[in-house]
Amino acid sequence: MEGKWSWVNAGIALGMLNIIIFLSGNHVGTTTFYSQTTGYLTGFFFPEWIPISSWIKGTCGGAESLSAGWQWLLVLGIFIGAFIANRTSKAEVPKEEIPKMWIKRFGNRPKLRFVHAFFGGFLLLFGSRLAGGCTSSHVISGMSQMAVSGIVFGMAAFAAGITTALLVYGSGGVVK
Amino acid sequence: MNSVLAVIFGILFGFILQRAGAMEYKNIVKTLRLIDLSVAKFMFLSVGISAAGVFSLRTMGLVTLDMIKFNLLGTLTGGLIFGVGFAIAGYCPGTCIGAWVEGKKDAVFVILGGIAGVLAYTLVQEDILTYIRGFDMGEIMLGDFISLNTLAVGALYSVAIGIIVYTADRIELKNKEKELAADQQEAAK
Repeated sequence: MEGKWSWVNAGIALGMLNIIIFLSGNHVGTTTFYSQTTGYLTGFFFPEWIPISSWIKGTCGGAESLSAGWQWLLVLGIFIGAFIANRTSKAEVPKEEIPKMWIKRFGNRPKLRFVHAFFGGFLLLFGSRLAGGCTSSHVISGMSQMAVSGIVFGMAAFAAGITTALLVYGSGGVVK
Repeated sequence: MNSVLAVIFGILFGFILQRAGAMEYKNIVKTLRLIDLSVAKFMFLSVGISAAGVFSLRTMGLVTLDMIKFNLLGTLTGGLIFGVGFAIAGYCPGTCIGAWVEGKKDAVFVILGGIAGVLAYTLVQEDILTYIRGFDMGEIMLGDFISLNTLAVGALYSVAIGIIVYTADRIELKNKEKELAADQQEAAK
């Protein structure tokens, strides 16, 4: 973990940033980025398929139109920020194709890992849209406001996540 | 101006997530396997600090709350589905964007799967919304149930989260010491 921040320092930094974001009258969230992008793509290639209104209603949260809104730009920022952090990192970030821990459990099968990743991503965003938000909007933003939706989402996500991880990897910590 | 802020906040957000190690599969899965809770402690510490700030500033009228509606069925089921995806993908919707930048090939498939997930949800959302509408409970927060000053509830909440994170950290440390001692005994044999 050399070159990384301790969880305490990183937690304080994110807490401070989140307070400043609240002061600016905004709230973090990344799920909307996916809706906006997906809506734009389907609208571009298959304009007849799904009416724009169904993206704006419900799926796109509070956005008024299909456009690069605040949350879209926030995700663009995450992209740039991760790039800067990666390039300035003292610790060499391994450019592994698939995670080592996963290989120990399932073997060196990149294609299978990509199938898992796709399936996992599908569930992540399907669940997020159903719940109205993801880790950023429900936990980082919602739980900071004591929102019941955020607290319930956070508990449900961790309960299901821990159960799944223990089932996949075995509970004894066999695969380190 | 607000658009510029969005990008700046995003850059800082991404930078912190990278430095916290939250963009790595192994750290997310280690947390979910209860081997190393660093990512969870990082997240919840930030929530505790944010809550203290938000409710203090709200008392001064500088911050307004903007919550996501609570739908008993939607939030709960969505959270459970999300959790399963969280463990399988090893990333969340925001961190896979950063992991992609870091050259993790599997993160690209998480993003593609995410786009497919949003598309699938949109196709069935009318049916789902009809079904779960009755469970809508509006924008509610803990302060609404407790007949105390909201700032006081916020302070208690913030302290409670701090205690939970601290306790989790202590338990983790103790377990690690135990493991180390056991390993040394093993080595001595």
